[in-house]
Amino acid sequence: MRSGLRALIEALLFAAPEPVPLGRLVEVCGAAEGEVRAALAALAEHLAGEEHGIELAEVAGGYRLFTKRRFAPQVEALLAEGRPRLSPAALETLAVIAYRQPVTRLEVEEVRGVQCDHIIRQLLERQLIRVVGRKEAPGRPFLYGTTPLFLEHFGLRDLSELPPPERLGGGA
Amino acid sequence: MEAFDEALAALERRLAGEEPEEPLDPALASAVAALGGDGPLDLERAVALLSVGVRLLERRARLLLPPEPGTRAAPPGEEEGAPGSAEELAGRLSEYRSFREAAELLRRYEELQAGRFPGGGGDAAAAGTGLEGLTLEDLVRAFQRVWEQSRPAAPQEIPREAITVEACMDAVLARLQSEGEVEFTALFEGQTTRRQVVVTFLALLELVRLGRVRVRQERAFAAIFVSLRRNEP
Repeated sequence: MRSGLRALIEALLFAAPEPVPLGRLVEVCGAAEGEVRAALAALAEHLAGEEHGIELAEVAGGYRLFTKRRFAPQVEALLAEGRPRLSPAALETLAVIAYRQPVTRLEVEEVRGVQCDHIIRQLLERQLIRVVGRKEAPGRPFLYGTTPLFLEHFGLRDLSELPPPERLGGGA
Repeated sequence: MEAFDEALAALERRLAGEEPEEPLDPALASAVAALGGDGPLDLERAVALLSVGVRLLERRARLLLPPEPGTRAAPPGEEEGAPGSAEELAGRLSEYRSFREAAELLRRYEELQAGRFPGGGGDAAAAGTGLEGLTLEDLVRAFQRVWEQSRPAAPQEIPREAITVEACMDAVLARLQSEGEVEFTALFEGQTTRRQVVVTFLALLELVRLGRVRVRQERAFAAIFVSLRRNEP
Protein backbone atom coordinates (compact mmCIF):
# COMPACT_ATOMS: atom_id res chain seq x y z
CA MET A 1 0.00 0.00 0.00
CA ARG A 2 1.27 3.46 -0.93
CA SER A 3 2.60 5.42 2.01
CA GLY A 4 0.08 7.92 3.39
CA LEU A 5 -2.83 6.58 1.38
CA ARG A 6 -4.75 5.53 4.49
CA ALA A 7 -4.37 9.02 6.00
CA LEU A 8 -5.39 10.65 2.72
CA ILE A 9 -8.56 8.57 2.53
CA GLU A 10 -9.33 9.37 6.15
CA ALA A 11 -9.04 13.10 5.34
CA LEU A 12 -11.25 12.79 2.26
CA LEU A 13 -13.95 10.87 4.11
CA PHE A 14 -13.80 13.29 7.03
CA ALA A 15 -14.49 16.22 4.68
CA ALA A 16 -17.05 14.54 2.41
CA PRO A 17 -20.68 15.54 2.98
CA GLU A 18 -21.99 12.21 1.67
CA PRO A 19 -20.81 8.63 1.14
CA VAL A 20 -17.90 8.51 -1.33
CA PRO A 21 -18.02 5.71 -3.90
CA LEU A 22 -14.90 3.59 -4.38
CA GLY A 23 -14.45 4.86 -7.95
CA ARG A 24 -14.36 8.47 -6.77
CA LEU A 25 -11.72 7.65 -4.13
CA VAL A 26 -9.61 5.89 -6.78
CA GLU A 27 -9.92 8.96 -9.01
CA VAL A 28 -9.07 11.53 -6.31
CA CYS A 29 -6.26 9.52 -4.73
CA GLY A 30 -4.72 8.64 -8.08
CA ALA A 31 -4.09 5.12 -6.83
CA ALA A 32 -5.00 1.69 -8.11
CA GLU A 33 -8.33 0.25 -7.02
CA GLY A 34 -6.61 -2.58 -5.16
CA GLU A 35 -4.49 -0.11 -3.21
CA VAL A 36 -7.53 1.97 -2.25
CA ARG A 37 -9.43 -1.14 -1.16
CA ALA A 38 -6.49 -2.22 0.98
CA ALA A 39 -6.20 1.26 2.49
CA LEU A 40 -9.92 1.29 3.28
CA ALA A 41 -9.66 -2.08 5.01
CA ALA A 42 -6.66 -0.85 6.99
CA LEU A 43 -8.48 2.35 7.96
CA ALA A 44 -11.58 0.40 9.08
CA GLU A 45 -9.41 -1.86 11.23
CA HIS A 46 -7.48 1.09 12.65
CA LEU A 47 -10.65 3.02 13.58
CA ALA A 48 -12.28 -0.05 15.10
CA GLY A 49 -9.83 0.23 18.00
CA GLU A 50 -11.13 1.33 21.40
CA GLU A 51 -9.07 4.52 21.27
CA HIS A 52 -11.18 5.89 18.38
CA GLY A 53 -14.63 7.44 18.57
CA ILE A 54 -15.44 7.12 14.88
CA GLU A 55 -15.72 4.19 12.51
CA LEU A 56 -15.74 3.56 8.78
CA ALA A 57 -18.93 2.19 7.25
CA GLU A 58 -20.06 1.28 3.76
CA VAL A 59 -23.46 2.82 3.07
CA ALA A 60 -25.48 3.84 0.01
CA GLY A 61 -22.85 2.58 -2.41
CA GLY A 62 -19.96 4.47 -0.81
CA TYR A 63 -17.81 4.91 2.29
CA ARG A 64 -18.46 7.31 5.16
CA LEU A 65 -17.18 8.02 8.65
CA PHE A 66 -19.66 7.79 11.51
CA THR A 67 -19.46 8.32 15.23
CA LYS A 68 -19.59 5.05 17.15
CA ARG A 69 -22.98 4.05 18.50
CA ARG A 70 -21.83 3.95 22.10
CA PHE A 71 -21.31 7.73 22.03
CA ALA A 72 -24.78 8.46 20.60
CA PRO A 73 -26.27 10.04 23.77
CA GLN A 74 -23.41 12.51 24.15
CA VAL A 75 -23.30 13.38 20.44
CA GLU A 76 -27.06 13.88 20.43
CA ALA A 77 -26.77 16.14 23.49
CA LEU A 78 -24.04 18.16 21.78
CA LEU A 79 -26.07 18.64 18.62
CA ALA A 80 -29.16 19.38 20.70
CA GLU A 81 -31.33 17.78 18.05
CA GLY A 82 -32.17 14.12 17.60
CA ARG A 83 -32.46 12.61 14.17
CA PRO A 84 -36.12 12.76 13.13
CA ARG A 85 -37.71 9.31 12.96
CA LEU A 86 -40.25 8.23 10.40
CA SER A 87 -43.84 7.47 11.42
CA PRO A 88 -45.13 3.86 11.16
CA ALA A 89 -47.25 4.89 8.15
CA ALA A 90 -44.22 6.42 6.41
CA LEU A 91 -42.14 3.29 7.10
CA GLU A 92 -44.90 1.08 5.72
CA THR A 93 -45.17 3.22 2.58
CA LEU A 94 -41.39 3.16 2.16
CA ALA A 95 -41.35 -0.62 2.55
CA VAL A 96 -43.88 -1.00 -0.27
CA ILE A 97 -41.93 1.37 -2.50
CA ALA A 98 -38.58 -0.28 -1.68
CA TYR A 99 -39.82 -3.76 -2.55
CA ARG A 100 -42.12 -2.89 -5.43
CA GLN A 101 -40.20 -0.07 -7.15
CA PRO A 102 -40.90 1.38 -9.61
CA VAL A 103 -44.42 1.67 -8.23
CA THR A 104 -47.32 4.13 -8.58
CA ARG A 105 -49.14 5.83 -5.71
CA LEU A 106 -52.27 3.83 -6.52
CA GLU A 107 -50.36 0.55 -6.28
CA VAL A 108 -49.01 1.59 -2.86
CA GLU A 109 -52.54 2.49 -1.75
CA GLU A 110 -53.89 -0.86 -2.93
CA VAL A 111 -51.46 -2.63 -0.62
CA ARG A 112 -51.97 -0.33 2.38
CA GLY A 113 -55.72 0.14 1.93
CA VAL A 114 -55.50 3.87 2.73
CA GLN A 115 -54.64 7.05 0.85
CA CYS A 116 -50.91 7.72 0.73
CA ASP A 117 -50.57 10.98 -1.22
CA HIS A 118 -49.67 13.02 1.87
CA ILE A 119 -47.04 10.54 3.05
CA ILE A 120 -45.59 10.24 -0.44
CA ARG A 121 -45.22 14.04 -0.58
CA GLN A 122 -43.42 13.97 2.78
CA LEU A 123 -41.08 11.21 1.61
CA LEU A 124 -40.38 13.15 -1.60
CA GLU A 125 -39.56 16.29 0.38
CA ARG A 126 -37.22 14.32 2.64
CA GLN A 127 -35.61 12.93 -0.51
CA LEU A 128 -36.08 9.33 0.62
CA ILE A 129 -38.00 8.58 -2.58
CA ARG A 130 -38.03 10.16 -6.04
CA VAL A 131 -40.01 10.05 -9.25
CA VAL A 132 -38.27 7.56 -11.52
CA GLY A 133 -40.62 7.76 -14.50
CA ARG A 134 -44.20 7.45 -15.60
CA LYS A 135 -46.24 4.31 -16.04
CA GLU A 136 -47.57 3.65 -19.54
CA ALA A 137 -51.15 3.46 -18.30
CA PRO A 138 -54.15 5.80 -18.45
CA GLY A 139 -53.20 9.13 -16.89
CA ARG A 140 -49.49 8.16 -17.07
CA PRO A 141 -49.10 8.19 -13.26
CA PHE A 142 -45.71 8.83 -11.65
CA LEU A 143 -43.56 5.86 -10.73
CA TYR A 144 -41.67 6.13 -7.45
CA GLY A 145 -38.41 4.58 -6.34
CA THR A 146 -36.01 4.93 -3.41
CA THR A 147 -32.97 7.24 -3.37
CA PRO A 148 -29.39 6.95 -2.09
CA LEU A 149 -30.58 8.92 0.97
CA PHE A 150 -33.00 6.08 1.69
CA LEU A 151 -30.04 3.69 1.87
CA GLU A 152 -28.11 6.12 4.04
CA HIS A 153 -31.03 6.72 6.40
CA PHE A 154 -31.27 2.99 7.11
CA GLY A 155 -27.53 2.28 6.94
CA LEU A 156 -27.80 -0.03 3.92
CA ARG A 157 -25.06 -0.57 1.33
CA ASP A 158 -27.65 -1.24 -1.37
CA LEU A 159 -31.15 -2.64 -1.79
CA SER A 160 -29.87 -6.21 -1.87
CA GLU A 161 -29.26 -5.86 1.90
CA LEU A 162 -33.02 -5.91 2.42
CA PRO A 163 -34.19 -9.49 3.08
CA PRO A 164 -35.67 -11.12 -0.03
CA PRO A 165 -39.48 -10.83 -0.23
CA GLU A 166 -40.01 -14.57 0.25
CA ARG A 167 -38.39 -14.32 3.68
CA LEU A 168 -41.02 -11.86 4.86
CA GLY A 169 -44.26 -13.15 6.42
CA GLY A 170 -46.59 -13.27 3.43
CA GLY A 171 -43.96 -12.91 0.70
CA ALA A 172 -43.89 -9.25 -0.39
CA MET B 1 -51.61 0.16 23.37
CA GLU B 2 -50.65 -3.49 23.76
CA ALA B 3 -54.33 -4.41 24.23
CA PHE B 4 -55.23 -2.59 21.04
CA ASP B 5 -52.49 -4.32 19.03
CA GLU B 6 -53.73 -7.71 20.28
CA ALA B 7 -57.34 -6.85 19.38
CA LEU B 8 -56.26 -5.69 15.91
CA ALA B 9 -54.23 -8.85 15.36
CA ALA B 10 -57.31 -10.92 16.30
CA LEU B 11 -59.40 -9.04 13.74
CA GLU B 12 -56.72 -9.58 11.10
CA ARG B 13 -56.69 -13.32 11.84
CA ARG B 14 -60.45 -13.32 11.43
CA LEU B 15 -60.11 -11.55 8.09
CA ALA B 16 -57.59 -14.17 6.99
CA GLY B 17 -60.07 -16.90 7.93
CA GLU B 18 -57.88 -18.20 10.75
CA GLU B 19 -60.54 -17.57 13.39
CA PRO B 20 -64.30 -18.24 13.44
CA GLU B 21 -66.55 -15.52 12.02
CA GLU B 22 -68.95 -15.13 14.97
CA PRO B 23 -69.43 -12.88 16.78
CA LEU B 24 -67.87 -9.85 15.09
CA ASP B 25 -69.37 -6.94 17.05
CA PRO B 26 -67.67 -7.63 20.44
CA ALA B 27 -64.30 -8.06 18.72
CA LEU B 28 -64.62 -4.71 16.95
CA ALA B 29 -65.95 -3.08 20.11
CA SER B 30 -63.00 -4.29 22.21
CA ALA B 31 -60.53 -2.96 19.59
CA VAL B 32 -62.30 0.43 19.58
CA ALA B 33 -62.31 0.52 23.40
CA ALA B 34 -58.61 -0.34 23.54
CA LEU B 35 -57.88 2.36 20.96
CA GLY B 36 -59.63 5.05 23.02
CA GLY B 37 -57.58 4.64 26.20
CA ASP B 38 -56.92 7.72 28.32
CA GLY B 39 -54.43 9.54 26.11
CA PRO B 40 -54.89 11.30 22.78
CA LEU B 41 -56.23 9.31 19.83
CA ASP B 42 -53.46 7.51 17.93
CA LEU B 43 -54.36 8.31 14.31
CA GLU B 44 -52.02 5.66 12.86
CA ARG B 45 -53.70 2.90 14.85
CA ALA B 46 -57.17 4.32 14.18
CA VAL B 47 -56.50 4.12 10.43
CA ALA B 48 -55.25 0.52 10.76
CA LEU B 49 -58.42 -0.43 12.66
CA LEU B 50 -60.65 1.32 10.12
CA SER B 51 -58.89 -0.46 7.27
CA VAL B 52 -59.38 -3.94 8.80
CA GLY B 53 -62.89 -3.12 10.02
CA VAL B 54 -64.04 -1.95 6.61
CA ARG B 55 -62.72 -5.09 4.94
CA LEU B 56 -64.46 -7.31 7.48
CA LEU B 57 -67.75 -5.46 7.12
CA GLU B 58 -67.45 -5.50 3.34
CA ARG B 59 -67.05 -9.25 3.39
CA ARG B 60 -69.91 -9.70 5.86
CA ALA B 61 -72.17 -7.51 3.70
CA ARG B 62 -71.31 -9.53 0.60
CA LEU B 63 -72.33 -12.75 2.34
CA LEU B 64 -75.75 -11.27 3.04
CA LEU B 65 -76.41 -10.52 -0.62
CA PRO B 66 -78.25 -13.09 -2.77
CA PRO B 67 -76.02 -14.87 -5.32
CA GLU B 68 -75.78 -13.40 -8.83
CA PRO B 69 -78.46 -14.86 -11.16
CA GLY B 70 -77.15 -17.96 -12.89
CA THR B 71 -74.32 -18.56 -10.43
CA ARG B 72 -74.06 -21.24 -7.81
CA ALA B 73 -74.23 -19.93 -4.29
CA ALA B 74 -70.78 -20.71 -2.97
CA PRO B 75 -70.23 -21.14 0.72
CA PRO B 76 -68.08 -18.49 2.41
CA GLY B 77 -64.41 -18.84 1.60
CA GLU B 78 -64.93 -21.08 -1.45
CA GLU B 79 -65.21 -18.49 -4.17
CA GLU B 80 -61.78 -19.42 -5.55
CA GLY B 81 -60.15 -16.07 -6.08
CA ALA B 82 -63.19 -14.15 -7.29
CA PRO B 83 -62.74 -10.43 -6.79
CA GLY B 84 -63.49 -9.62 -3.18
CA SER B 85 -63.68 -13.27 -2.21
CA ALA B 86 -62.44 -14.48 1.16
CA GLU B 87 -59.49 -16.05 -0.64
CA GLU B 88 -58.55 -12.81 -2.36
CA LEU B 89 -58.99 -10.80 0.82
CA ALA B 90 -56.83 -13.25 2.73
CA GLY B 91 -54.18 -12.94 0.00
CA ARG B 92 -54.23 -9.17 0.23
CA LEU B 93 -54.03 -9.28 3.99
CA SER B 94 -51.07 -11.65 3.82
CA GLU B 95 -49.35 -9.26 1.38
CA TYR B 96 -50.07 -6.33 3.68
CA ARG B 97 -48.67 -8.24 6.65
CA SER B 98 -45.42 -8.89 4.86
CA PHE B 99 -45.02 -5.18 4.14
CA ARG B 100 -45.80 -4.42 7.78
CA GLU B 101 -43.02 -6.82 8.67
CA ALA B 102 -40.71 -5.04 6.20
CA ALA B 103 -41.67 -1.71 7.80
CA GLU B 104 -40.80 -3.11 11.23
CA LEU B 105 -37.44 -4.20 9.85
CA LEU B 106 -36.83 -0.71 8.47
CA ARG B 107 -37.70 0.72 11.87
CA ARG B 108 -35.02 -1.48 13.46
CA TYR B 109 -32.47 -0.40 10.82
CA GLU B 110 -33.44 3.24 11.44
CA GLU B 111 -33.01 2.74 15.18
CA LEU B 112 -29.53 1.28 14.70
CA GLN B 113 -28.48 3.97 12.25
CA ALA B 114 -29.83 6.75 14.50
CA GLY B 115 -27.04 5.96 16.97
CA ARG B 116 -24.35 6.82 14.41
CA PHE B 117 -23.76 10.43 13.39
CA PRO B 118 -21.97 11.05 10.09
CA GLY B 119 -19.01 13.34 9.72
CA GLY B 120 -18.31 15.61 6.79
CA GLY B 121 -20.89 18.31 7.11
CA GLY B 122 -23.60 16.40 8.89
CA ASP B 123 -26.47 14.21 8.03
CA ALA B 124 -28.19 14.99 4.75
CA ALA B 125 -31.01 12.58 5.56
CA ALA B 126 -31.67 14.17 8.91
CA ALA B 127 -31.18 17.68 7.59
CA GLY B 128 -33.89 17.07 5.03
CA THR B 129 -36.02 20.15 4.57
CA GLY B 130 -36.33 21.39 8.14
CA LEU B 131 -39.98 20.40 7.98
CA GLU B 132 -40.96 17.64 10.40
CA GLY B 133 -44.33 15.93 10.29
CA LEU B 134 -45.68 18.31 7.67
CA THR B 135 -45.11 19.20 4.04
CA LEU B 136 -44.52 22.55 2.43
CA GLU B 137 -48.10 22.33 1.22
CA ASP B 138 -49.33 22.01 4.84
CA LEU B 139 -47.32 25.08 5.77
CA VAL B 140 -48.79 27.06 2.88
CA ARG B 141 -52.28 25.91 3.93
CA ALA B 142 -51.62 27.14 7.47
CA PHE B 143 -50.50 30.44 5.99
CA GLN B 144 -53.72 30.67 3.98
CA ARG B 145 -55.66 30.67 7.26
CA VAL B 146 -53.49 33.52 8.59
CA TRP B 147 -53.93 35.33 5.27
CA GLU B 148 -57.71 35.09 5.43
CA GLN B 149 -57.67 36.77 8.84
CA SER B 150 -55.40 39.60 7.78
CA ARG B 151 -56.89 42.91 6.68
CA PRO B 152 -56.49 44.13 3.09
CA ALA B 153 -55.14 47.68 2.87
CA ALA B 154 -57.73 50.38 2.27
CA PRO B 155 -57.93 51.06 -1.47
CA GLN B 156 -57.15 54.77 -1.19
CA GLU B 157 -54.09 54.16 0.93
CA ILE B 158 -50.66 54.21 -0.72
CA PRO B 159 -48.55 52.12 1.62
CA ARG B 160 -44.96 53.08 2.18
CA GLU B 161 -43.90 50.48 4.65
CA ALA B 162 -40.17 50.10 5.14
CA ILE B 163 -40.45 46.35 5.61
CA THR B 164 -38.03 43.92 4.01
CA VAL B 165 -37.65 40.15 4.00
CA GLU B 166 -34.16 40.51 5.54
CA ALA B 167 -35.48 42.62 8.41
CA CYS B 168 -38.28 40.13 9.02
CA MET B 169 -35.79 37.24 8.97
CA ASP B 170 -33.78 38.99 11.67
CA ALA B 171 -36.95 39.67 13.66
CA VAL B 172 -38.06 36.02 13.44
CA LEU B 173 -34.59 34.75 14.43
CA ALA B 174 -34.43 37.19 17.35
CA ARG B 175 -37.81 36.06 18.57
CA LEU B 176 -36.91 32.37 18.29
CA GLN B 177 -33.66 33.03 20.14
CA SER B 178 -35.47 34.67 23.02
CA GLU B 179 -38.58 32.48 23.16
CA GLY B 180 -37.31 29.12 21.92
CA GLU B 181 -40.17 27.44 20.12
CA VAL B 182 -42.93 29.68 18.77
CA GLU B 183 -46.30 28.65 17.40
CA PHE B 184 -46.62 29.37 13.67
CA THR B 185 -49.64 31.69 13.95
CA ALA B 186 -47.98 33.59 16.82
CA LEU B 187 -45.33 34.78 14.35
CA PHE B 188 -48.01 36.90 12.70
CA GLU B 189 -49.56 38.36 15.85
CA GLY B 190 -49.79 42.13 15.81
CA GLN B 191 -49.36 42.29 12.04
CA THR B 192 -52.36 44.02 10.66
CA THR B 193 -51.61 44.46 6.99
CA ARG B 194 -51.33 41.78 4.36
CA ARG B 195 -48.00 43.18 3.25
CA GLN B 196 -46.53 42.50 6.71
CA VAL B 197 -48.03 39.01 6.77
CA VAL B 198 -46.69 38.11 3.32
CA VAL B 199 -43.20 39.43 4.04
CA THR B 200 -43.07 37.52 7.35
CA PHE B 201 -44.09 34.30 5.59
CA LEU B 202 -41.48 34.88 2.87
CA ALA B 203 -38.90 35.43 5.61
CA LEU B 204 -39.92 32.14 7.25
CA LEU B 205 -39.68 30.25 3.95
CA GLU B 206 -36.24 31.73 3.35
CA LEU B 207 -35.11 30.64 6.83
CA VAL B 208 -36.40 27.12 6.12
CA ARG B 209 -34.55 27.12 2.78
CA LEU B 210 -31.34 28.22 4.46
CA GLY B 211 -31.77 25.48 7.06
CA ARG B 212 -31.80 27.95 9.93
CA VAL B 213 -35.18 27.07 11.40
CA ARG B 214 -37.07 23.89 12.07
CA VAL B 215 -40.84 23.64 11.51
CA ARG B 216 -42.60 20.70 13.11
CA GLN B 217 -46.10 19.34 13.54
CA GLU B 218 -46.60 16.45 15.99
CA ARG B 219 -49.57 14.98 14.16
CA ALA B 220 -52.14 15.87 11.52
CA PHE B 221 -54.18 18.99 12.38
CA ALA B 222 -52.00 19.77 15.43
CA ALA B 223 -50.39 23.17 15.94
CA ILE B 224 -47.28 23.98 13.90
CA PHE B 225 -44.19 25.09 15.82
CA VAL B 226 -41.11 26.94 14.61
CA SER B 227 -37.73 26.83 16.36
CA LEU B 228 -34.06 27.45 15.61
CA ARG B 229 -32.09 24.59 14.12
CA ARG B 230 -28.87 23.38 15.67
CA ASN B 231 -25.77 25.50 15.10
CA GLU B 232 -27.88 28.63 15.47
CA PRO B 233 -26.50 30.75 18.32
